[in-house]
Amino acid sequence: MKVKIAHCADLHIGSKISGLGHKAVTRAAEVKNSFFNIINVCDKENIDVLCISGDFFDDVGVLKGEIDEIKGICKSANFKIVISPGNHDPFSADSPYKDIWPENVFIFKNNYLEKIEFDDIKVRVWGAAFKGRYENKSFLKNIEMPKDDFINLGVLHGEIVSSNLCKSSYNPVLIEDIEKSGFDYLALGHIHKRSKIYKSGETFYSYSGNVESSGFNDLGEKGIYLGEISKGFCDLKFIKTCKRSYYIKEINVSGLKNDNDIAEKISSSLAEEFGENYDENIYKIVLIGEISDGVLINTQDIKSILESGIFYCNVEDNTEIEIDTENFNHKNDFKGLFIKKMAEKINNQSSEDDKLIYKKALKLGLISFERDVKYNDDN
Amino acid sequence: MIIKKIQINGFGKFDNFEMELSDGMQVIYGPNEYGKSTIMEFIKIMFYSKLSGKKTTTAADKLARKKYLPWSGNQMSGTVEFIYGGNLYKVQKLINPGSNSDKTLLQNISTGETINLGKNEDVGEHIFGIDLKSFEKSSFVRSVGKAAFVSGKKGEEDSIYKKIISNLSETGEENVSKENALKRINSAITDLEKSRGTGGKIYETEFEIKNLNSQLYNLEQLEKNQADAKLKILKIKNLIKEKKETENYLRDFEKINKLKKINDVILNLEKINDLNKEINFLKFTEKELEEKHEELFCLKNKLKSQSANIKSIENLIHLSEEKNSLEELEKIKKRSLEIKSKKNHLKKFDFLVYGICLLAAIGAFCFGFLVNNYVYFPMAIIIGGGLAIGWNKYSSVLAEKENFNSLDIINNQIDSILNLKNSYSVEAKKISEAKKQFVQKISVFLSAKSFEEALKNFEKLEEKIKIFKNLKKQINIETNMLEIKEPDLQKLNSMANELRGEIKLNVSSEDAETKKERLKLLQKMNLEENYINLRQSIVTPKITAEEINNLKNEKCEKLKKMKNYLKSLKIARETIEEVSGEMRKNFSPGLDKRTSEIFDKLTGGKYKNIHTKKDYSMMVSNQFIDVSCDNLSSGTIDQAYLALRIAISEIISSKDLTPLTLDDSFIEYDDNRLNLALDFLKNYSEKTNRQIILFTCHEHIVNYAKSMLIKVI
Repeated sequence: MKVKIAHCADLHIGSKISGLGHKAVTRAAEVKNSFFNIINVCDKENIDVLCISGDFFDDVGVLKGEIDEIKGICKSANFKIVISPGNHDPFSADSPYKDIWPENVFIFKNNYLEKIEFDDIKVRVWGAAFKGRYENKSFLKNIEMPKDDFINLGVLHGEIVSSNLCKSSYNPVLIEDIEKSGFDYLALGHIHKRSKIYKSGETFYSYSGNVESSGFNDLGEKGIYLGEISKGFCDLKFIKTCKRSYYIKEINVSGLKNDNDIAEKISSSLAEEFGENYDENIYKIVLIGEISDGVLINTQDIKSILESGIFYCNVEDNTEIEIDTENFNHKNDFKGLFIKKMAEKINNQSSEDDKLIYKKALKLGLISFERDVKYNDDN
Repeated sequence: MIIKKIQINGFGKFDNFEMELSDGMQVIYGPNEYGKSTIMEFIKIMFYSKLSGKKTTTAADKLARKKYLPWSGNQMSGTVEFIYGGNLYKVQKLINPGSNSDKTLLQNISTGETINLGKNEDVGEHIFGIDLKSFEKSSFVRSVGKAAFVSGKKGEEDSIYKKIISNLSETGEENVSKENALKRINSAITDLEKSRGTGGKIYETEFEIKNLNSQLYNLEQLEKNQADAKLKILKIKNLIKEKKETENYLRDFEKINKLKKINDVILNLEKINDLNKEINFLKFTEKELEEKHEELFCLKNKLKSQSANIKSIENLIHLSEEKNSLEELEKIKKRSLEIKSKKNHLKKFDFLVYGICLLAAIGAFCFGFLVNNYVYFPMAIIIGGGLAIGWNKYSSVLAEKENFNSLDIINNQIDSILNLKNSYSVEAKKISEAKKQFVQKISVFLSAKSFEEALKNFEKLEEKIKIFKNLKKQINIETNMLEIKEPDLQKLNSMANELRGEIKLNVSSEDAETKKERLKLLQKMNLEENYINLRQSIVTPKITAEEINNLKNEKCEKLKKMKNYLKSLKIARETIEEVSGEMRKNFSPGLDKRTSEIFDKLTGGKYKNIHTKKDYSMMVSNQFIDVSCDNLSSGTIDQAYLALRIAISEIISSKDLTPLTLDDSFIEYDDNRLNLALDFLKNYSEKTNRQIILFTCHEHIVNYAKSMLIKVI
């Protein structure tokens, strides 16, 4: 007996995107579209069950229009969808899960483990719902596993803890409990970083991670796990379904003289690494290297140049002033003396952190001769 | 710059005054009150009159203007012609004291153009490039000594100093950019951290972090409260459950009571039915029943009274018959009648006998008398006897009469007895009628054959009616309590069955009391309301502690970045100022050098080294010791500051050197010093081609000057 499933979680539909300026609205819509994309992929692959391991919605207060759209998308799927509500979308009194959902959608309602049996595909799905923001007790206890040839799937929103001593407010899951569960596959949700597929006892398990990145602390490709499960066998593979990903890249701009050159170098580096669709991603570019003291980098200008192609990027200037004490253009004028003095001070610093601060001081000092040095988040 | 000519139209005591000045050094001599200071003041005002534009037109300034109001009554005005930068200029001014509407006209005679001055720019600023204060500190020596150098605000580098520095350093441009750099850095610093009070990005970020902390705290509190609330909700739920159960219990209790009552009623109704079986009274309405009862009762009473009557009659009869029974009476009556008839018979005889007797008697008596015979006495006895018998008869007649009378009485008695007996029988008839009626009536209810039975039945009836009435009363009370109008057995039974079906619990009345108390208590607690309120109070917080912490960490990172940035800015500023200071240090010697040169000459080589500090205090040094100028003689101090001024004025003049105007500066000098000074000035003027104008009222100075071939006016 085998079953073809897909596993996803933490879509956080309806969440507010921060840090993207005017692109935030677009990005919010992309999150919802991602789900549509996932359904399409699953349809094409002819799966039987889609497991959504919680945090499907970002909040119980998500708009009715959105819910209806999602319900529509679910209805159009030709497979079963099983949802275990998580801490962001708990099955509380005001939850949208209390509405009527399409027939192919099965939502767990209680904060203890229950099962749904699909006789047609001989699959038993086990799951539980968060009833509120926190669930301090583990759901994965006391499972009475019937002895038959059904494939047992677990769909849970929770946090793996290493021992009983670790306190978690989000359904703490012990690996030993996974082993004891008797599931063939446990689809977990809550951790946004996708994990490998692990095995404990006879049970395979993993976190599928979220489906669209939310910020620069959440890098890389996002998507779902999809594949076949049978007793003792699991060939789930990662399928990328996200529209775009976040990346942080350091680009060395030593020797470059102006913003345009720098922007060009950035573009070419990104294209090299990410291929021709590199401009769909969201980047944080950190400029490193040594520039001569006559060069002034304007990160806002560089950002504008890049954003004519790239969806969104931030540019941070971490370059250092090249201190060539031998070969000064302006030896004894004010600037020259300033550079000399700063160079002395930088050398006198013992810690790397202090060195950095003094290097920055040198940079700011030189910039201040030409233009404003007010702090902004990119500096 | 060389002043060629001054023309005073109205200023102080001068009216239409003209004076021509020459190049080089000259001494203007005039006794006191001549107007030398006035002329000096005039020159100054010609170049620097704009007191307006600055918000602080001091009282002193206003006073100064008024001081020099033309005595002639004309307006304050005049012109000065001077050569500057190869061109001849003419400045004309018309001054209105006390107002801001001075008129100034600056013309370049050589080129013919009129120079437009800026808003706050006066002639002096435009031509010399220095402001009034700088002018007064350098070329315009009105008073000697340190006083003129005391600067205004603390910590403020006065413009003259800046000018010195900027002119002594390599390029002025650099200075400007350094100024700008410092400006930018400072504004960046205040952007992050305001110097006073609250403000700046760092403060704001710290504030945001504080907010997040309090949000966290609030969230914690909220969750604690909600945990509390949840517990309370649970408790209340239980209490509500208890309340419901108690209510149910009491409800059942009520029902049981009701049931009891209904059962009572049913019982009573059944009793009534039973009664009816015995005595058939239900077929009558209450009114009829009442009537019938009344009838019967009356009847009975009547019967009673009748019986009483009859009894009394009977009694009377008995009484009478006690004396003489009727038969006796009849006998007596008969006898009496016999007697009567006899009597009647006798009556007839009576008279005869009577009469005879009487005659006999009498006759006898007479005889007797006559004959005094004993015979006649027996006759008298016989007569007497006959009288006696007659008397007997008479008494029997009397007795008969009596009997006759008693005969009446007896007759009466007999009559009465007969009457009584009559009435008795009437009554007896009546009674029997009544009794019959009674029996009849009673038989309606309960058949009776005889009167006794009827009576018994009547008693029974009464009893039953009483019971009936009681039952009815009870039923009424109960049905009133139960609020049923028509106590119908069927209905009641069905009600009872219904109730029986509804009652689920076993209830007892002792429990019921305690339960009632408990219910009252529970009802006072407003349980449902509190429940709703508590439930409503449980809100899923929009943001979790985790998210707040994430935000907080972000902000803390940012704060760290800002603080480091601030550090860097400060370091940059510090370094710039250090460099600046060092540069100054390097150039201050320039000033000192020149000052020392001049001072050397003025003191005749006595002091070779003099150093000016930033606050314009001066130090002289020889091989052994550094002495502050304050410790030197005042004359020497004057010389020192004069030297400084001359040095400064050289340094700050951008192009041509401004004329050095001195207002009787050497009054305290002894001859030697004076010689030195004048000598120096002459040589200086010749060397540097600088116009020097010395005003004095002292003749000896003039003499000296003359001896030195200095012009005197």
